Amino acid sequence: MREMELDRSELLREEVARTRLNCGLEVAALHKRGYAKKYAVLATRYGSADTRFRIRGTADPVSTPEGIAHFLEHKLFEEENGSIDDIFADLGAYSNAFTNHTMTGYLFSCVDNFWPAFDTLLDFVMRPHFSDENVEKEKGIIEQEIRMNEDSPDWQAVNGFLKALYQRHPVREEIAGTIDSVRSITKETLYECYRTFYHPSNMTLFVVGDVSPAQVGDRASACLDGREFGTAPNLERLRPEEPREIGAHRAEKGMAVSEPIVCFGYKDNRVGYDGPPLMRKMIGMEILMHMLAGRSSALYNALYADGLIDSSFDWDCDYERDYGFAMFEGRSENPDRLVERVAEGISAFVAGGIDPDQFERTRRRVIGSMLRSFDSLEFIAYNFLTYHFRDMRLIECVEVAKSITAEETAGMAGELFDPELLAVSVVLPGSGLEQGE
Amino acid sequence: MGHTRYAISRSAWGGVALEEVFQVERLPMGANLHTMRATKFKTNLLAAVLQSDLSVDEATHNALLGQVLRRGTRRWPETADFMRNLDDLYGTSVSADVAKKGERHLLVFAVGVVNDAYLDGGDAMLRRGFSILRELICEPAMEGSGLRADYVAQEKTNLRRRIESILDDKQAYAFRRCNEEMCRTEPYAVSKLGRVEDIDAITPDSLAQWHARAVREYPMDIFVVGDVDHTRAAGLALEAFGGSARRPRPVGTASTRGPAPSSKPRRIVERMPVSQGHLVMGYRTGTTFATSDFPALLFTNGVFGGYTHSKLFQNVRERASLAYFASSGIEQTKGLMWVNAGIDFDAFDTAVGIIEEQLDAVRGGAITESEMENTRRGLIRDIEMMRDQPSSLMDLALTGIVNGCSITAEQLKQRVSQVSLEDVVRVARGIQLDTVYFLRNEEGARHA
Repeated sequence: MREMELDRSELLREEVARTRLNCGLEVAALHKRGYAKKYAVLATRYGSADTRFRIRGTADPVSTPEGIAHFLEHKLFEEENGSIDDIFADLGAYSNAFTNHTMTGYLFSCVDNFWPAFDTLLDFVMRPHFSDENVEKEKGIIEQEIRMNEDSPDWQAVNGFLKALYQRHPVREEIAGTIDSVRSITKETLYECYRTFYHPSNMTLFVVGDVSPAQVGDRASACLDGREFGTAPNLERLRPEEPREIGAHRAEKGMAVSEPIVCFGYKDNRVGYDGPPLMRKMIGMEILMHMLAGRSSALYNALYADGLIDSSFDWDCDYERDYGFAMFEGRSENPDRLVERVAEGISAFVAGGIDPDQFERTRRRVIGSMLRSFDSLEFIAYNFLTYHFRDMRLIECVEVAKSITAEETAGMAGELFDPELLAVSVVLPGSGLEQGE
Repeated sequence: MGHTRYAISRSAWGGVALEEVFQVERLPMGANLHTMRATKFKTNLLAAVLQSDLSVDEATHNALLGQVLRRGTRRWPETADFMRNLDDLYGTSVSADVAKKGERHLLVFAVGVVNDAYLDGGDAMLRRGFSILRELICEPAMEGSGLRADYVAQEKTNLRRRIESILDDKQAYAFRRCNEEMCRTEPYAVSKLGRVEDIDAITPDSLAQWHARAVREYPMDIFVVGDVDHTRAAGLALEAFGGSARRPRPVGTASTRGPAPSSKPRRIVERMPVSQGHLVMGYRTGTTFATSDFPALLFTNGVFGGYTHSKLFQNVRERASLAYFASSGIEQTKGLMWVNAGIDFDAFDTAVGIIEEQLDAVRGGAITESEMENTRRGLIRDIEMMRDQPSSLMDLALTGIVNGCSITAEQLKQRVSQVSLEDVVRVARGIQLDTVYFLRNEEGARHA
């Protein structure tokens, strides 16, 4: 049996076992005893934001079409004789995949036949088969996926917000690309992206369920360590220099909706790091945003009583190595008044300082929701990888939440909410008119 | 989570089995207690479900009542204070919402508390959870003889907005419109949120009277899933609800038989500024949860459109590249089936043609061995995975209660494992297309 490194949380009563195979793949597992479902994800550090890159010392910079990471994800399921989904279905396993701005993941879940499904996952992700015919065929499917998102006002509101907030960073681009960019994708470009981003040293396998972690390590090694993957490409991701300023203060779009949907928030320019400091910031921001605009906050309750928001109102933060923002979203009959009131509420909150009782109460709330989240295998798997790719350890979340101080969150509040860095995106009832930028 | 490779919006399973480990007891105050001991979760789920018939009146009042009750209680009348108290209790979750199963309307109250074992031990959280559930249902924030007038006024507006906002989700909108048209002479056409026109007349006093009657007369089921044994749960439930004077009234059937579809299905086309055509086809299956062919209906849906190996996904998406999603789902209590797909406006006739061909293939027995066996494995997997989800376990038990017939998960698994090709063909032959609904753009041919 393979020796695994262990990360344990006494508060969560969970343990993650980790190892690295000879081929460079990182393997990690969390043993959930008593669960029927077993869940495995093989993920790579490659997302929709990685459209420009260079292999150091060998070639010129490469620019690839928007949406190619997502297209590749769709096509990797293709085999010479059909789809790999057929093999998973034969095993009674559910298979799927996802792409976001920075990661692509391939997954299956099952109750029985875990090991054959496991072997299948490792095999197919490591063995691409793209053909001209298959690439063309996929374009119609992805075009409908893009059109489905075009009809989703919530998606459009968030996307308009990101496009307003960022001038050049590719987080502003659609994950699935545009109908034109997708049409320009070829088999050759897919192979080039595959060779660049799917070396095992750029990837992590994570398993959660009632499965022995040591066996996961052994089996992954048996599957992959005999194969030849070549040396890892010396990859440089090319990200355009993002100016400090936002691109536009306001963006509007007309759609067939019942009332305006608004998404607004602040660009955070204090970026460029990951690891434990980023984890403290993410958890600190979670506490801060709950105190500021959560359901128990004075601001939320005043906005609700005045009819400016309903229960669809929510907030979110996203922090990556090279971008970060905090945003609010919801339906409102008067989006401009809502934005004004939130900005006033933020000023008052920052000026008033952090109330220690509210801080402790909110910390308890955040810890409770972390405990609750660990009842979901999907949550654990997705967040383990998200944290891991940012050099952070999900398993330490409760410990970090316990150690954050009111002063730290006060510092974050003091730095983030700069009115100059506030962008507002509104979807208005009407017909397809686009403005802004 | 970004983009997933495929999305099947309504699962083949949709929630069916009665989990065998639910222990059921009739409590003296006229409520049934259902408990399932499971120590693997970090949270305990406590819930109470009140049932009524489905009508515009019931749906509108119950939906509004749920929204008003979650604003505060006698002990915590201000919403902000109520929420702060929940924060203090490690973010205890509280919900009060409505659902429909067949022609039954459900008011569902749920409280999720962290398992005390992860905190200081003891049972403080569990006890608080039960008292919050009672306060939420039985002890609302009052003003004179009515519910808090400001909450009622605000929630009337919010309910109207919530009903109207279904327009924003085009798939959900198309789905609802198809049902309204298909079931236009049956109670099932009523939305779980009721009707905008009926909100205005409700007052704080009338809603308080409605509340008192609902708590007294609606049949009530209490669910406890988590690290709590049955005896302890029964004690806490009695302590919480034993004082209420309840006189439950029987409710009517949850599944009226609709009119037989005419030989030519109805076609409804609506136009709106949309990017994609949203197709929903409504079928009557003639088979419900309460009939012996139910496992075969699950199977038929699985072969036809419930999975990625199913005929719809394989033919509409993988072969014809017409759609990103194309799937079927069933409503178990009423015995309805839907197909939905997002397609190009011009692909309407082609897509409807392929979909009908696929169902014809099932009716004609053109089903491969692997389509049968993969469906069987998929259904069995889905049944077993429910054991990890307290909310689906509860939902499954509720379907049994609403349909007045219980079947354990193990029994259902057995029956699914015995379904034959002949069973699938027989059930498929009883499925009739009733209504084809298409939401499309404003330009383009008007003959569709």
